[in-house]
Amino acid sequence: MPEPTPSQVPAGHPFRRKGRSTEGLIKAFFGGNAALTIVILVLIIVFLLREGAGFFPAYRNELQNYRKSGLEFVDIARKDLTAHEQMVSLLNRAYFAQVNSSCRAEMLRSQEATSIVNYLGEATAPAHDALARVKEASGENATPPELLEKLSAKYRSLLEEALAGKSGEGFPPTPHLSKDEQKLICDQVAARDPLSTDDPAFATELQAALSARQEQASAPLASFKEAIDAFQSTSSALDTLVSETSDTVKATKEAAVLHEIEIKKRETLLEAAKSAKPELRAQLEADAASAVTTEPVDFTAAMAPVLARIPEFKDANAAMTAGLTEVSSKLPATLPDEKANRYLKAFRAATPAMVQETADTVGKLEAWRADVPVAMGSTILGFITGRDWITGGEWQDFYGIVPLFVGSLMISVIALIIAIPFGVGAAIYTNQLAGRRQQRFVKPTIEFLQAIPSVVLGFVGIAVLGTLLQEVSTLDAFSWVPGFPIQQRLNMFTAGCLLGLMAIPTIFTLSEDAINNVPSAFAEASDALGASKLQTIFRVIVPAAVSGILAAVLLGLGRVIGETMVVLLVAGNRIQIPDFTEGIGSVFQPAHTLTGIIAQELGEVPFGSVHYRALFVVGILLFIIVLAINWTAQRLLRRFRISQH
Amino acid sequence: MPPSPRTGGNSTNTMRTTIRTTFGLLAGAVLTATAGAQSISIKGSDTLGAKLVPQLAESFKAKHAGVKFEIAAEGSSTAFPALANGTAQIGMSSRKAKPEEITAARSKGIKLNEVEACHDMIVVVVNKANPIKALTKDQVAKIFTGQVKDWSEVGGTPGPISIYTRNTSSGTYKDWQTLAMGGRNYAGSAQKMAGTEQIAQEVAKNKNGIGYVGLAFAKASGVTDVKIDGVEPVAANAKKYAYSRACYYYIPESADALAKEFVAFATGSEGQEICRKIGFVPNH
Repeated sequence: MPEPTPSQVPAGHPFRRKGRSTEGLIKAFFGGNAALTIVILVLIIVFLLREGAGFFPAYRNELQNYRKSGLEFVDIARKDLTAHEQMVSLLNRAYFAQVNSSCRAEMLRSQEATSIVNYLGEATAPAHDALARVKEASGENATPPELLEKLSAKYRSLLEEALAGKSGEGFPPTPHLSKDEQKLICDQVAARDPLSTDDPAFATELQAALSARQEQASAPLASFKEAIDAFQSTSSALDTLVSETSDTVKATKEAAVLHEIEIKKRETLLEAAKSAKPELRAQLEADAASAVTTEPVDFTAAMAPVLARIPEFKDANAAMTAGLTEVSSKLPATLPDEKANRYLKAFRAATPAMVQETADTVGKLEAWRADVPVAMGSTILGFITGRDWITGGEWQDFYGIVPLFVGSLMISVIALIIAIPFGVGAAIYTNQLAGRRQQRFVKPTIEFLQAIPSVVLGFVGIAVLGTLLQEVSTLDAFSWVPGFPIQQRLNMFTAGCLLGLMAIPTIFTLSEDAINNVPSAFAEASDALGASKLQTIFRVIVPAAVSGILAAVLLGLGRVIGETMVVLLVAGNRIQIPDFTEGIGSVFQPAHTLTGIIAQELGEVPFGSVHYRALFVVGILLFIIVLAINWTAQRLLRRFRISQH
Repeated sequence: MPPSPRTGGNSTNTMRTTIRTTFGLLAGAVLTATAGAQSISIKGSDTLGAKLVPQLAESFKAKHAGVKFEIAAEGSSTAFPALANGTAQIGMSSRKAKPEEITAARSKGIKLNEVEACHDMIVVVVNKANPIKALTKDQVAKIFTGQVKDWSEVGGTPGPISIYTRNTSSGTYKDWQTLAMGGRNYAGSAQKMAGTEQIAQEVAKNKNGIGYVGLAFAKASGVTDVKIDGVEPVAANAKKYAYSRACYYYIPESADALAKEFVAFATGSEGQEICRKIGFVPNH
């Protein structure tokens, strides 16, 4: 046994006198703290796994029900219907774009007239609303004349101010209306009764002019429109079929679910009765006895009438395919308007896919069997590769994480693209180029960014950044930027910018540490060989610190991907895979994220339901992602650590 | 190390007295608090809880001095767990309770009574600059299911339609699916907002936006309401309007008298008058 190290404390000192017991106590205290932290971490993991583990069997059960009650069958046919609707929508958009292209002047004039009326209405709204309230409140009784007088005076003064262009953001720009026309509208609004909201005569006139022009423009396109309408009506047979059969299968599913609920209710009540007080127990047991009122559903019998209609589905399918061929032959080769032509081209491009889609439907319907069990593997695969996250619906809930994952990924990439140059650049500057005083100012200031709560950043994002970006994007000078003008104020780019801001301090601090850790001998040797300062930085110091910088970036990524509040507030919460056909402009679309969905939906899901468990699985996935990122960062650091000697 | 007996005795005595006094004071404070200020905790629907119930609470307070209210409006689905575990005395819901929600409460010995609060109309709103002032039911369904993607397809200025909806905890989210969309799923492009206010805000900011709000919010700035099948969404048209629904209070049978009195007040003539003023449709 080795000799205990002799104590550093001189003999006779109070520390020495109390001896080992206090020291041991303190040691045990700290040791206990460390152990407790680890235990809590393990408990969290166990809790996550336990809540999430039940998801796949339960989801599989739901999918089994979805198949057994025939919802899946109807969805096969419905897919064609959706495809058809999309195609019709494309043609309609092409048609209207063409019609509207020749009415642009009239449309703008009418819009500008409306904007003047809106502007005046908004400016006088306080007085107008007050008048309306007074009139309503007094009802049959006469309104006190002095009050009316006062409010009317207020209305007039507000109106005058608005006419002078002084209220709100000033008079709206109206480049397509002449001065006289502008004045005419203003006069007509000024002349109308304070309580009236009728459009002034001239605005109505402009509206009529627009309609007339549209009619005129649509005349040469009449055959095109006819073809579209004919194509649209070819889906009516399938539409009726789908809606009728979906009613049948939905009733089946509801009956099955009701039966399941009743059985569960009986179990829950009996369970509760076991531990209840005697006087309550009898009542609960009586309730349980009368809980189940329905018979179990016979799926085969319920499905028979639907399956019997397969020939009808066949006919409807054939009608739609014929409609597609016919409309394709009747379409004009090109349309003069560029936008209309784009829609037309999109239609032509999508035609083979639709033909393909409708062709194999009948085969799929005939091959469909209700009694094929849903495999566990396909359930898991459906979760990982599913493109729909549909919850709280009437029909069937689907849990597919691809749209959420893509949203998280895109936002993180945007954030990193912004944060890396800023964070690493600032680190190089502060460590290598800045003077001592600058260092003392820059470092704490950048680190201070971390102190801003994310919810505050979220507010900034909605109120300032989102609005600013949207307004800037409408300027003509920026129309060349892909994705401009921005449609949605809340989008991935705005969220990415804010998250980038949040990641900068992490990347900055850690990169700065990494650069600082490069032994000064490297720089000195480089200097001695006659390299300039910049050469030393880029050829010696940064390459030596690159593993640390990479680790910093990864830890920044970990921070970004786990961030919730900002994305919930700013990303727009649209559960859909972004439309990448827009290219780089697709970053201005809204998206939902892995973290956001948990925050948004966990508060309201019934405890223990499939949906609840699905959110836990998303949580586990996030946990694994962040863990993997941090682990990689640690490894990078360790592997490439430069020894100080 | 034990303290020396003399000082120890002293300090123990003082401590005991202090504890006793503190405890006495605390108990006294708690007693007076409960006697003076009874509190009613109300949870659930955002539609009811955002404006109506706080206003009802204010008028109720004017009559019953010292009653305190705790109102949390986070969606109808939050009402039932809160009722079942006793953290709320009254639940607000813009939809009927599901059988499993009733059972969950029943298994904890709580029997829920359903009281019709008032009627609400869900109003379709578009941006003020949008020339569309009327839509048909069919068009609304097509827009929200994503079959119609561009305003020009329903006769408006060309531009892609942006759909704003409530999130899945909301009773309105499901009601809308039933009332307006024939039970079909929302378009994938729909953006889920946390509350009615946010929908109104985003529609006001996006000239191609469309969303739905409770009648009380239809006059928010920057948006206009849309006639449905030619019927204007005003309280007088409640019977004719396509998207009307009832809202409910849920109250445990064993609730205390004060909570019951509040519900009676809210459904009584005075409470219904407040409903009307805020923009709901009274029961009678």
